[in-house]
Amino acid sequence: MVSPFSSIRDLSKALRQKKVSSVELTKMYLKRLETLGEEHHAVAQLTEALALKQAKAADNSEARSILHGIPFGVKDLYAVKGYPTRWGSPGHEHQEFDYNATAVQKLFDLGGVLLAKLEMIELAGGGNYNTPWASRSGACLCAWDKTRWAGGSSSGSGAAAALGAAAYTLGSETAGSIVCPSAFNGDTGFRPTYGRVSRHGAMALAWTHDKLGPICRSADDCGIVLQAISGPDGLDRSTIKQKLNLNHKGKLPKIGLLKHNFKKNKAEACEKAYELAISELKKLGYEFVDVAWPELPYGDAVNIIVAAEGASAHELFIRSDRLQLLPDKYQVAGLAASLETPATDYLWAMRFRSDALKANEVWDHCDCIFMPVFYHGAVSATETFDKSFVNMGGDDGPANLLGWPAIAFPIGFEGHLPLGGEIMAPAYGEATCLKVAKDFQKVTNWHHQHPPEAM
Amino acid sequence: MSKNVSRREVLAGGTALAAGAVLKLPQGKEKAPPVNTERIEKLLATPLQGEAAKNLPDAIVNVQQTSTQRWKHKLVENSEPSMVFIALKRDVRSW
Repeated sequence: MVSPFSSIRDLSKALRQKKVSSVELTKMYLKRLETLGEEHHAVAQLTEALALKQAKAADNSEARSILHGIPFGVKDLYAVKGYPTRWGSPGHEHQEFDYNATAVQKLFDLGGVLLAKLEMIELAGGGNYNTPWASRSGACLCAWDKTRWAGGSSSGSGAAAALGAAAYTLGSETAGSIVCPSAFNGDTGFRPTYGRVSRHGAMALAWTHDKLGPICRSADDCGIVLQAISGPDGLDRSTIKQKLNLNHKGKLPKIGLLKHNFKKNKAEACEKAYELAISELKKLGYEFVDVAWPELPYGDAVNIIVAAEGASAHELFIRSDRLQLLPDKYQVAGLAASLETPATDYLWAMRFRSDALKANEVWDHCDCIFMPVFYHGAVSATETFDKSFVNMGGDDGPANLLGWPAIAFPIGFEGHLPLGGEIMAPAYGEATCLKVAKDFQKVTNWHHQHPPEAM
Repeated sequence: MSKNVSRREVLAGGTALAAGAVLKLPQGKEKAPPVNTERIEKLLATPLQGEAAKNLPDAIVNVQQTSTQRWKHKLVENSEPSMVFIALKRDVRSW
């Protein structure tokens, strides 16, 4: 029996055994996107005609992969031929590309069925947004509570996955945009190593930081999708040539723990969830060790790089009168100001990246690091972040600067709101991330909790 | 961890980054000297309006503060920018 929350493996099995058709699955998810998805402002554009055409074709052909006939959604920064790609921005209302993003094309080639383009923070947050409503559809609302924000910038992908409005979704991350909505919505999201997935056809915010990855409902699903969309691409010279191997071999990874100040951040629920997660992993035989990375200005470097590369990537737009169509006026000002990022600052940041490689010393002591994504559940959908993000914490380390992978997954609740934890690993360490997350999900039930409204 | 975390840092790339950081929005309006917004305004098709215009000085101050902040970390003289954006294998332990 399939449900909107069924795993990819279960959906695939049901399709192969003809217990359900791709058209039936597609109609089920389209209906949920039209209702739940729209109510949560998660949908940028339904691709209904394409979805039904692809689903019929899938039903009438031999399975090409485990993803054959399975419906999915993508963040609206992935180009899809024949549909608008608006990057979450009212200033790009009529933008269309006449090609598919490589990741989307790969899923099409494997028999995937595209349900919708999903809503996102405008320009993936370039220019620094300060409001949840920095999006052409307004604030995308948390799957668990419509007074809360779904997180960003892959907002709609996070909400839709948690609402059971797609079998899986794709998001993107420059510095937090996959792990944040995954944590806020109780999803499992996988940020791969920089270069693992082709960025061709996906909006650039910062060329040297942007990563594309899946947001799903389990680590196993994430592994399947990441395997499908990864690989070298002649259209993106930054892609890694080495094939992704997600099979972890050898001893159990040793897990590093950073220092956290739960008390100062009034994060009792998070502390409890974090400790319980560690205890579950210990029962599985995992060893832990306290670690720290060198205190360096990683954040300053990320800020400068994102500002400079974003200003260049979007200069035409920033200098046009369309800039002022963006709803977040902090972001409008931020994008304008980013035009003045000094070249010396940018090159300092790129030189600093070599210095920051010192942070890899942390991997002399452990194979991966476990940490809370945030200290609290989803923030208010109506407050500005300077008020709502106090005591939230978050990763301010070298991970995004150095292209390290991470998988975020639910580890408990704060009241009715999910809390996320993440496993990060050195570059190329996706198999380690996946191993730990899958083991954790074998013995816990958090990823099987779904928003009551969506049941 | 930087103790002086700007909104830029907190929200860079689409989400909060700063663990335990006290959010510090630019407070340019109170005592800070006037910020020259003309150079930027000249680059734009139309001058910023309303709230966006009000926020521009703070946004410029943010860029300047980051510039000041980054100078505190001195790099090795004549070091080169990284053109590889992930850790090379040889830089990661013995793998």
